[in-house]
Amino acid sequence: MNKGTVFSLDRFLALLNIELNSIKKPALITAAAIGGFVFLTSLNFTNQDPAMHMGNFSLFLMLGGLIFTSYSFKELKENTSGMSWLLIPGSHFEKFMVKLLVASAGFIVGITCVYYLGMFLGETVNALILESPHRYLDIFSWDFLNLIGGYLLMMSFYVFGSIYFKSYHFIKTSLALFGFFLLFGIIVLTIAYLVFLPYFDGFSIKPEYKEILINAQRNSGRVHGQQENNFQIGANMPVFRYIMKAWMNFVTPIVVLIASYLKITEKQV
Amino acid sequence: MIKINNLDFSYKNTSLFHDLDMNMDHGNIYGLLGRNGAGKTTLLKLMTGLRFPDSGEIITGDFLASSRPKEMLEKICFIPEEIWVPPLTAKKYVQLYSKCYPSFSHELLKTHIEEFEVPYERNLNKLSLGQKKKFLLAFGFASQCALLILDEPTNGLDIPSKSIFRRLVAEYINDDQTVIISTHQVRDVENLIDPIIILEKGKVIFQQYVNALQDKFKIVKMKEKSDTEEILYSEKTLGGYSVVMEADSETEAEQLDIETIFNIAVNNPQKLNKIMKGEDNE
Repeated sequence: MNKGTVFSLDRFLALLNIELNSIKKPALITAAAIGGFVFLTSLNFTNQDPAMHMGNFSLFLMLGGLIFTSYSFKELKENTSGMSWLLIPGSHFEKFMVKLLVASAGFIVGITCVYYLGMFLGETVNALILESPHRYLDIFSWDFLNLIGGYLLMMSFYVFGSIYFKSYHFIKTSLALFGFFLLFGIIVLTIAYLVFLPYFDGFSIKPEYKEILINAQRNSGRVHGQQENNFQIGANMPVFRYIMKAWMNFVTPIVVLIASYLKITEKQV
Repeated sequence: MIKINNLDFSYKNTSLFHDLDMNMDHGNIYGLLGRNGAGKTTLLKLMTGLRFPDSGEIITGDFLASSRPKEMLEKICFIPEEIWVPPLTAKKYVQLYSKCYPSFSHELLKTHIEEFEVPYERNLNKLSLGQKKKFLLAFGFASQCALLILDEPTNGLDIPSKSIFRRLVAEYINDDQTVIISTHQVRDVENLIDPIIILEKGKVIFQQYVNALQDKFKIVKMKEKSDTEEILYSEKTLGGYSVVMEADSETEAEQLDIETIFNIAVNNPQKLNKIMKGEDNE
């Protein structure tokens, strides 16, 4: 019995072409709407906050991207379209990677281009006619990279939700995540409370322990200025911070995406 | 082409197939028949890997059906009863999807599209059910897949299209290809399907060539009902009874049709199978 090949570039490109054609029309309409909205908001000369575009872009990326991702596997919503999609000659891996590519790199590049176009036109008009200071979205900043990392993490959950739930993917995934993190938070806080109870007075560290931590911080020389008077967890535990970042931005999305892929291989319609 | 070994399948707690075995070979047009809810569509889904068995195995081509490898999928064209088409023009659909089928013939497609008179430039979603079905049938025949599975293919087709459909199926089949047609409209595929497989209560109760039965049995018109051993099946008709019995060439009789074979198999499966295996002669 043969097992079949997992990946071929030609097949992948053919499947990508099918996918892009299936979303072309709604994507163009949405892009036009977003571009227009960004153009209008860029004309707003009353808001001189240089971070305005980062805030607006975050909203479009996170909310728009996650709604878009929720419908990545829209074919599986109905039995008839699910049958058609599952029977397209292509491996599960190729089909999954096509969806993932569109929801991740495809959406990020697409929304950034649309945003930049709207922003460029709006800010140009703003600068020429209204002589307002120029604001722009800096895609080479750490904030932007952090935002993309956050999107990729959240996207992985919504890809899973898109496969796992049969309808109302976005709402159900959001509620499931909210429920999960609420439960997770309660458990972590309960454990932390039980373990660290002797060191706390309500939600504050007891003064004698706080003094020990701040002194240790001062002696280490890791924190300077006003921050010396408060204990900075991130500055004092860089390894912990890097582990947490790696866990959230790499390990978690990869684990969730592997689970999503396995879910596709066992999908029945 | 398809091997089913000890298949068990159930929906929630309702068992549909138990210990089902079946083989299907190249070069045949199989007719899959059964009452409503007998599991015909589910069996087709199991064969294509859209459903997974609870136990047992289904080998389609050389592949485990439930693993759905692309090498298996590019040999299968399954046109279900309830069809779905993406929001594309027929032309665009062909341009995109034909690349996934290595044996796809654009010449054949052009001929079939013209025969079925399907509007090629219109959006598939704007077409009527019959037109969508004709387009998918034309695409399916042009794909030249080793396994063509059609679930109620004549539903929604107009009368001229049914004739074209029969001709295209007959032209399609060769020694390397298999066609499975699941239908209740047996008259639409009367002289096309052979052998027939009849599903009843999760089992294959009959799997035989129609010709073998037609050579042996005929439908004879009788005025009075008779309960003799030779009569396999009888049915009240206008002015008498139609009975199925062994008949020689001199007896005035009609050829056995699939609908009657189905009724015999469902009402008297043991006797029919015994006769077909020649055990009655022993």
